[in-house]
Amino acid sequence: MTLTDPAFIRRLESLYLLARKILGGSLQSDRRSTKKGAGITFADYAQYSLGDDYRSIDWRVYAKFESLLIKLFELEEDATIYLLIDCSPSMASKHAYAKQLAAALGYIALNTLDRLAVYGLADRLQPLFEPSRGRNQVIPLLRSLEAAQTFGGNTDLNACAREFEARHRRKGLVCVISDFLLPGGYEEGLSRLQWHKHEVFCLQTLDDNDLRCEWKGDVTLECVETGRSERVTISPREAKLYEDAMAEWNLGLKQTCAKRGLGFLSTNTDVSFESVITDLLRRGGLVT
Amino acid sequence: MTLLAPAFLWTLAALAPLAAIYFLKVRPRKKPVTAFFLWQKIFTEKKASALFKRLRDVFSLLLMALAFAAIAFALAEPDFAGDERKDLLIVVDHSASMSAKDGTTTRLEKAKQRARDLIAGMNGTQRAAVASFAEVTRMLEHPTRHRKALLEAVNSIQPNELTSRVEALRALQPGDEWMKDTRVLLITDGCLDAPDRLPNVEVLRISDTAKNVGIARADLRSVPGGPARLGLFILPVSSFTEPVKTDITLMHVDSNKLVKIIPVTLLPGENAAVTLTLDDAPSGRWKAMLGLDDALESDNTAFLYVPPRQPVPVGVFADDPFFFQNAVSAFERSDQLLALAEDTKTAQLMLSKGKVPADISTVVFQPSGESTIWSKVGNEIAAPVPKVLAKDHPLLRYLDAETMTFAGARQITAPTGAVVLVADESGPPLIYLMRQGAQTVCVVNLDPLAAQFYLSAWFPVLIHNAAAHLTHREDMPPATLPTGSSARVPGRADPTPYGPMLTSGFHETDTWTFATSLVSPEESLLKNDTLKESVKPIASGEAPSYWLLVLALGVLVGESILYDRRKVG
Repeated sequence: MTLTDPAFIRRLESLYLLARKILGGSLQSDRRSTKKGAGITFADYAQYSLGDDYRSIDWRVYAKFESLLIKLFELEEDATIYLLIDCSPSMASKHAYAKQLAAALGYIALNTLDRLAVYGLADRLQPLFEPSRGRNQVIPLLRSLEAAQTFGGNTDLNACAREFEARHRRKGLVCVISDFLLPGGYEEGLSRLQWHKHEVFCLQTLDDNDLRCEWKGDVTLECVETGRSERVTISPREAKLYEDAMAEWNLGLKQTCAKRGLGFLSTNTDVSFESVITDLLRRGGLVT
Repeated sequence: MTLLAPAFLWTLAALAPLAAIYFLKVRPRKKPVTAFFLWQKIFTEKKASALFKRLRDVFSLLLMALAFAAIAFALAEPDFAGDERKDLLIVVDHSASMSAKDGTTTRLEKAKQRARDLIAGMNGTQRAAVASFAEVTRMLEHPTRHRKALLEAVNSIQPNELTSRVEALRALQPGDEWMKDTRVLLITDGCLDAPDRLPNVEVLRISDTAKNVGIARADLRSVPGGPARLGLFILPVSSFTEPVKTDITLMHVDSNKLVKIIPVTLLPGENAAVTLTLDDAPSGRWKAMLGLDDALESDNTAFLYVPPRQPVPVGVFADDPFFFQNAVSAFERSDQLLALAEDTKTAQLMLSKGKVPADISTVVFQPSGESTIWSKVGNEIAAPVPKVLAKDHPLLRYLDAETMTFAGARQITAPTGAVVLVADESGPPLIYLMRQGAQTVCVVNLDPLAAQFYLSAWFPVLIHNAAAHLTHREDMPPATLPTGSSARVPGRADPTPYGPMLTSGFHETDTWTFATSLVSPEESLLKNDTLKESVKPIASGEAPSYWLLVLALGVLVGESILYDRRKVG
């Protein structure tokens, strides 16, 4: 099923309706924000300080307590969503799945009139979908995603983050869709994105071949990204060591995200993308 | 090393295609991985040595080549022993000395194991036979290639208490075509009665370092000097290298009474005989025992039998009985063989002159008148010249009949069936035996008075011999017989011997008791340095081919364990 297939689009539409229900808004400013500002939904009180809009002073409170407090409202703004899809060769087996996830997120973003940009990640950053807004951009989005191929070599998240920062100063939600099996590490790249005030969400997509080693014996291991190979003998012991190392790597990613306040969700290609998106929305993962 | 089937070495040429196939077929598959850096980390921590890493890829091939080469060599049947590969006749000595303890086992078990090794060492073309050897040689399995049958024959060999008799091995000598190209292997401890007379056999020796004492000779019999006086004779031997102290315990078995304990110090080798006179000693079954825990138990006890004193009642039927009666009385006093009968009805033997009483064995001198025992009593033979016709007859034992004077001998004719022992040169019998039913008559054709025979030294000799022979007591068995013996029952007319008596102990017949013991210095000394072991090479134990196949199997299993899992992927 291609991304522009009507059946797939119907699935996206269903997912969007579900997202609306979860998000509870419509059209502009549907997306709730943790930021406080000029909205209509009361959020909190704060001490009045010089420069604050005196129109927001709660005079009733002043009359009662003789204290100047201002009312804060949830900021309702249109957000910018950046989807960074790992297009390195290591994602070859998961690329279609990653694109489905990106399509779903992009569809929801465009329908909620958020600004959306999609990039491919590898050893460099490659634009897949220029920043756009509006429902009319859905089909172009899907087409561009459909046309996206894997490219480059080892994923260099740091270099890509650097390039991404050079392209976009506007803060937004950066959703990185990758297996995060990055030989050069992921911490520096995520730090860089976070340092530039982006809300970063890590959506790890793995498949069973990543998690488990089912084959034993004499094999020539070949790195799908660099082409390097090594002839080894894999016994159950080595297979177990690999699975342990993989689990440790994923745990490290999860702990890093938790420590840095980044959103994180790990999924397997066996899980349907709708479930992943629904789960992600329910957990408030896309709240900026 | 020689190869019995070198043509099979050509199979080694198959190694080259094997290697080619291996390299073509056994190639590790490529596996694209996404987390190569994780794998690198794992294999960096588990770094194999450079040599092993280099060899690892060809190790499986090397192992398979090794297994293949081992199989090829096994087919070529390498022979390290230099054995001529003749057929084998394996003779296992299972005489009494082979029952000696040797460490935790016995010599016989070691000999059987040696025989099993020889059978295991046979190649496919060899045949073998198995025989046991002690007092007689028994073929247990005739020539065959069937190893199981040979092993069963070896396993069936049981220890016994018999002595080894080299003469018995002659039964194995040629005559049989198969024997001409056969190696006869005698597995023995070397304790043989006549090792210097061994026929053409190769000796494979079992260790003979066991320490043992034993009774090599024993006797217990009545001695003159009293009605219940017994003389004991024990000849102990020792294979200890130092003197050992022990006791000889003498026991009367019938009354279960300990009669005597004789402390002795046994020197290495054959010791001086222990002799003892026992007064008031009853007849019957006795036992002499050496009280020492040694290698061979069966030679520590000698079983002895002293027959009850039962002299033969002898009646005298003559005009001048004086000399006959005195002769009988003399033997009554000495060896108690004879006693004067109170009347002729109780007599078992008659000494007669002229006549032959009916239905009783008789020694009759100077035959006269009519009788069925002789016929035609004619004139006196003038100057008879005696000629011995049956030299070894027991009746003539210790008797020089040709020097006897047969004065008064008559021209008589012995009846048909008579055994003439001594005859005149002219033909008439001078001494002969005639059997009629249970009655045996010894006719002595001379006039005792005219020949002055009563005063001759041969008179008591002839009386004693005749009495012993006619009452069937000429061969009184000794107090103990060697195990495996057969013996005629004294007093029984039937000459068929009783036995063989294969175990030591007492053997009862209806009228007699025999005692048998392992009385053999050769078996008891348990050592014989004169017998040399064969030095001709002989294959023993599993053949090299067998071990090569085991090696090949082991290597293949190892290769399978080490590498099959690598190939399953």
